[in-house]
Amino acid sequence: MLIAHRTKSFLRKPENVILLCLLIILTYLILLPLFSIVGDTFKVHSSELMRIKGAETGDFTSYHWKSIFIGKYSKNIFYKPLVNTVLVALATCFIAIFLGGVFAWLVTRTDIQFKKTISSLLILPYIMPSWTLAMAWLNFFKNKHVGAPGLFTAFTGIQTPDWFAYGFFPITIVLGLHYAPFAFILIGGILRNMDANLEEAAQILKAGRWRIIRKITIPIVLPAMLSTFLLVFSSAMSAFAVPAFLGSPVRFQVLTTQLFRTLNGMSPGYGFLIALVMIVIGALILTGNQMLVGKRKSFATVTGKSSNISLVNLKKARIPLSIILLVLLLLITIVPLITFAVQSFMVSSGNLAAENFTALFWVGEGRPDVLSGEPGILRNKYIYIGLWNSIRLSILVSLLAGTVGLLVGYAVVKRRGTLAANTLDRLSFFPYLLPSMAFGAIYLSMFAVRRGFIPSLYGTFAILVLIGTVKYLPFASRAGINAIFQLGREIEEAAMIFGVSWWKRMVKIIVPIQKASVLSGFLLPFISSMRELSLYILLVTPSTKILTTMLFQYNEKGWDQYANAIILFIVIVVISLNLIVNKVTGASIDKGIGG
Amino acid sequence: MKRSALILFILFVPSLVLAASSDLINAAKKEGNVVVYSITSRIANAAKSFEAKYGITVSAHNLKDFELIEKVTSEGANKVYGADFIIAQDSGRVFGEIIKPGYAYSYVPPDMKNIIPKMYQDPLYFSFITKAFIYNSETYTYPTITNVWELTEKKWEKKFWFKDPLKEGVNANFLTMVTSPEVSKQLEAAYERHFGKKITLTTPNAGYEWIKGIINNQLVMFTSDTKMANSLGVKGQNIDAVALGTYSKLRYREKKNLALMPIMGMEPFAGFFYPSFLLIRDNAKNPNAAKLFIEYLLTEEGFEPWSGSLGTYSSNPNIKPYPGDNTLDVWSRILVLESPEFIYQNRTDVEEFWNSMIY
Amino acid sequence: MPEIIIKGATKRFGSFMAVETLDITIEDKGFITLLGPSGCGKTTTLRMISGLESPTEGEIYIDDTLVFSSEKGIDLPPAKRDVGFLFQNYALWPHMTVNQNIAFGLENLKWSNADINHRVHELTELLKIDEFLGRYPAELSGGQQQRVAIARTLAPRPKVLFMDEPLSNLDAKLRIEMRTELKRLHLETNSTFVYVTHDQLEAMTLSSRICLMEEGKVQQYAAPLEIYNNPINLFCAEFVGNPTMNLIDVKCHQNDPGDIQLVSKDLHFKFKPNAGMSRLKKGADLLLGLRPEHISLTDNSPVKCKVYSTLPSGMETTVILKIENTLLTAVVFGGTDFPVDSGIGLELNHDNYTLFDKSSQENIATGSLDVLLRTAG
Repeated sequence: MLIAHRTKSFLRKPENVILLCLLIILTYLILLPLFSIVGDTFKVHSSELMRIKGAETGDFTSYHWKSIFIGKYSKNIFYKPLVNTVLVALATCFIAIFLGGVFAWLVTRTDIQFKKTISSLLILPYIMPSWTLAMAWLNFFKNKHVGAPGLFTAFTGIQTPDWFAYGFFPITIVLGLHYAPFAFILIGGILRNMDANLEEAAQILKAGRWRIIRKITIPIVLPAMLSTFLLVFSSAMSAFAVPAFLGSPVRFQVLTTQLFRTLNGMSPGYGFLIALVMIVIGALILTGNQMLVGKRKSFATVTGKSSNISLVNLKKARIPLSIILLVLLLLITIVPLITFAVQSFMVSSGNLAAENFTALFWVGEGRPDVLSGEPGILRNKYIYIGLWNSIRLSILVSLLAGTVGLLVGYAVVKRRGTLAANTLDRLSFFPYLLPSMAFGAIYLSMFAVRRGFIPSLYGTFAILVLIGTVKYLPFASRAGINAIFQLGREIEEAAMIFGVSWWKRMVKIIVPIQKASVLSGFLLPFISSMRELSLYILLVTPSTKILTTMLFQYNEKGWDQYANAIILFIVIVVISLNLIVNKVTGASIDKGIGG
Repeated sequence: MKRSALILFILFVPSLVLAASSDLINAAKKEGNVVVYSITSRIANAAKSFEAKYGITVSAHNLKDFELIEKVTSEGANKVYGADFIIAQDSGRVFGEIIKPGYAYSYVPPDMKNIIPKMYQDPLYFSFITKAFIYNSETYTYPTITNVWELTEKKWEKKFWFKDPLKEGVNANFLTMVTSPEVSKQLEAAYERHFGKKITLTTPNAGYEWIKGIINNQLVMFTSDTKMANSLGVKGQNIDAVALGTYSKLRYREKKNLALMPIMGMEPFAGFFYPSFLLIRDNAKNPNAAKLFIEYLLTEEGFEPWSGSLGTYSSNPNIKPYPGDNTLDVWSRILVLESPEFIYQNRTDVEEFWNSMIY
Repeated sequence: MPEIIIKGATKRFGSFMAVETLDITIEDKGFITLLGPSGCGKTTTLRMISGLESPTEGEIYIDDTLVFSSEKGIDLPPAKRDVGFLFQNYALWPHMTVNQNIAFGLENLKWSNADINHRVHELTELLKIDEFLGRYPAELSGGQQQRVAIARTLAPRPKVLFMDEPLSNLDAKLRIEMRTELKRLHLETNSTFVYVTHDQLEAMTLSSRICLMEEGKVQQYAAPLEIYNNPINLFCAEFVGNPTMNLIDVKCHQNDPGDIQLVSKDLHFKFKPNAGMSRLKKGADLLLGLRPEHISLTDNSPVKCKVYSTLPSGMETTVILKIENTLLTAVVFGGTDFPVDSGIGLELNHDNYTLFDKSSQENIATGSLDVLLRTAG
């Protein structure tokens, strides 16, 4: 009787119902697939019949574990890519944090000019797909090694060396630039919120500029930097397109490219096992981050009003430095876009002669003697299908993830401190650390067959929506938690006193007040989904193909003009949406980033 | 006079043989559309003319060979409808993973039964595709290389291009065939001719030895044959490499202004060739439209996107190769052909060997 | 010795005028308070003197050294001005222990370890925080953090000490305690203190001189009691003193030497100025200011009023009186609880009632008053 009463009163509160439902659903969508993938590492798959002689599809086997970890070729299949992955991720972190940190410091702490422009330009590399820069790099620097030279060689006649054009160096530069905005936003946020008096106190006590940075500023932003480090590390580790584009000419392999090769090739068992390894690394990083974030809280001190920050006077360096930064940013944001536009009109790359330019790739009918009969972009129904699929997918993902994220925020904040709330909080953040492609592999393994009442989702559009929603839930739930947390409970309680229903409280009070925060919870999943490749690439089928997977195919086939045009499409959609939402509502992507 | 007679013949013969039954046409039209997965991108052109002719909408999806097999096996295992018929390559896997589990079957149009050689009917062959050694004909006026063993010498370091065999099954098939007893024997002989001494083996046979040789000589891998052809044929850049890639890319010579020529006299082989297959999916929603399209593709008219340029040869012997191109007969004497059985048994060994060397 | 001279200092943030042509001289060893409502420019002034902010125009001398001049392009950094600064939020470095916080400034001066140790102990003993040396700021209470901040600021023995509302984050009891200690510290350290606050009581009790500011301008710069007794204008009169000064709207009814009469809607006064009265004009609208403690209550006065409300605090009692429709606040010593609505007499027997011009708000005369009983109905 008592239990029944308790249950009833427990379920009367909407936050409890939400908490319970979400815990069940997310366990099913995030935790259970992990078990499914473990199972797949012990199974014989149909394409492995050639390899594992005498076995039947579905048989139990330890073949994959043996070959990956202790096999004759495990050094090449697994260990070397693993080392490469770790090295790339480390170098990427270093570049991203250094660049992001320097920019953040310049913008928040000095009197540098064009602050607004610098800040908004700096966000661009993160909004754009990471391979934008990789493709731009190839457009510029590819060398004779793979034939047609890039623009740099076309203009200067200098052949770029292999180490510069392909492999480790450009991969880390490109990924570092891509994640620098991430570090910029996180570190900039800390610097902006950090009491300027802390630095001024040191200044008054006659500490030099460098000593202040070394002894005061850096130690205080250190937890944020470490947090950035871990998040960038896990993102860089799961990057696929950049190493695929820049690494393959010199056979530079990382775990993701191995994962793609093996899953798509003849040894999916290897692929699932590599995915599992990446997931374990991701989980370790999550634990590390949680520990650090916990520690950061103790750094909060009694703060009163923070007086206006006095900015470092850059004196003579101000104008030249401002201009250099601006030019640098334009070089990595606007210039690549221009090269895409130009390249989409060129028959063969590196040839600047007038007759080499044509609109054929935009409006041509598609003749076998030029491009295997593929019609020009504007006449190509498959490109329109891909565009429509991309937009449709991103809208659905953003609506679903945004709504669930808001509910997560509501339930977690309302039941703050309880075990269930903490579990939901962590669970909803976990997909962030699952490498995209590994996550795709999980869903491939989990939902390819019928599971209980859920039919096989392979080849459906629904599976793309599902995985996108779960993968971007972390962004949305962060935004949701922030939104509800900042609101405080009194506002909602005031409405409860009047007997306003839960639904009405959400729609009429909570969402309107926090619309900027809430909207960024919707915006980020949209943008991320629009430019996502590795998450979806294993799951799309020809009828559900999206722009990014088409782009990847075009690029592999060497139909650069199409690839360049598609990337322009994506960048334009993403940037203009971000601008519109930002102008209309004040929500912006940087509000949702971070952990 | 002779030429116009030939043209007349070409125009006339198909209309004689193409007599798709009106029942099939009606049934196909009723279905109204058809979906095809294809390893050749020129399916888009064929689809266009097919649409124009019959008013049946075609969704033609161009996939890479392993992708196509991956999709079809997943869809087959999960009873998901994706395509009505497929044009697939990579014979070992097509036999073992698609035909054997019953995910797809052959349909030979009744009119074609007497035209297409019996050996090409089960499964039904669509075409043969050739890949040959190619060089930049602006840099070199004549082939500077005549023996594949030269590619293992210092002079050709970093100058031999090949599409990543793990990115296209047929390339892995070729490497596997190189290790077969017949081909490795030929390679042994070619080694002696070139170096004037007997080969000393560090690997199982001369085929493996050659693979090891080209990898150690910094073989450059591409992700696509198109990319390779575009890069190799650029004029004015003094490109001095040799590529082993799809011969049909030579059709870009005119429009893309590329300087490309094959090395027909390469010893002991000038490249390789392999078949592609036409198969109807077991759960096709539009089987009649698929049958009609298959029949169409086997005719002169339907094959036009491929026969309109060089490098691809129909299984229908009545369809003549592009004027000036070699016949399949000529090619089959200088190219390595894939044997599904040998590949099924040995390809993983070769792939593992390749993996252990390449990275 | 460190005398601080500020000449025509102006600070603009964009179009906002934070401080406008400020001219003050801060004498050596003074305890100067910059007082004013929030946003009056007092913190900006402090930051300009300390070098944390650069004035838009003007000159600043510390100890005869020109530390800032907009004309000569001189702008010494804070480190070269030999000053100490105590921040409102203490600005203790969260990643350093109390010891490290205090020692940091001395390390910058390249003191030897032994000297640093000695100085740290000296200060922590003085401020009674020696037991917390190994702790981090987050582990201390507000009052303890405050003491650490003071110790850190005092450690290098600055000649001038700037304090920006250092007590505003403390509770009432602690605030009074710290006030006492700050005043002692001022004597013990023998240095010049410049102190920012919006709390008039703090300013009154601590400072040797108050610089009262409003909207970026100095209103009055004088000793606390001078401002209290002789406010230069209405703003100063109202800002200082608690309860605030009573103000009655009056008209100058008659302005003959020896017979100045002021009339409000309910009352009629005769005003006797202490000095000349050239600025008074007949028919002018004026405000009459009466400090609450200058209104005496007595039963035998002919001027009768009613007790409207009474607020005894033990030591003193604030009584709100009502004459017709005019409310007046009076303060009497001792805890007397007057019955509400009872009648009582009122006496104005002091000589420092102030007259302000209603339009210019300036103090135009101080003097004594006689209440004339209602003559005309």
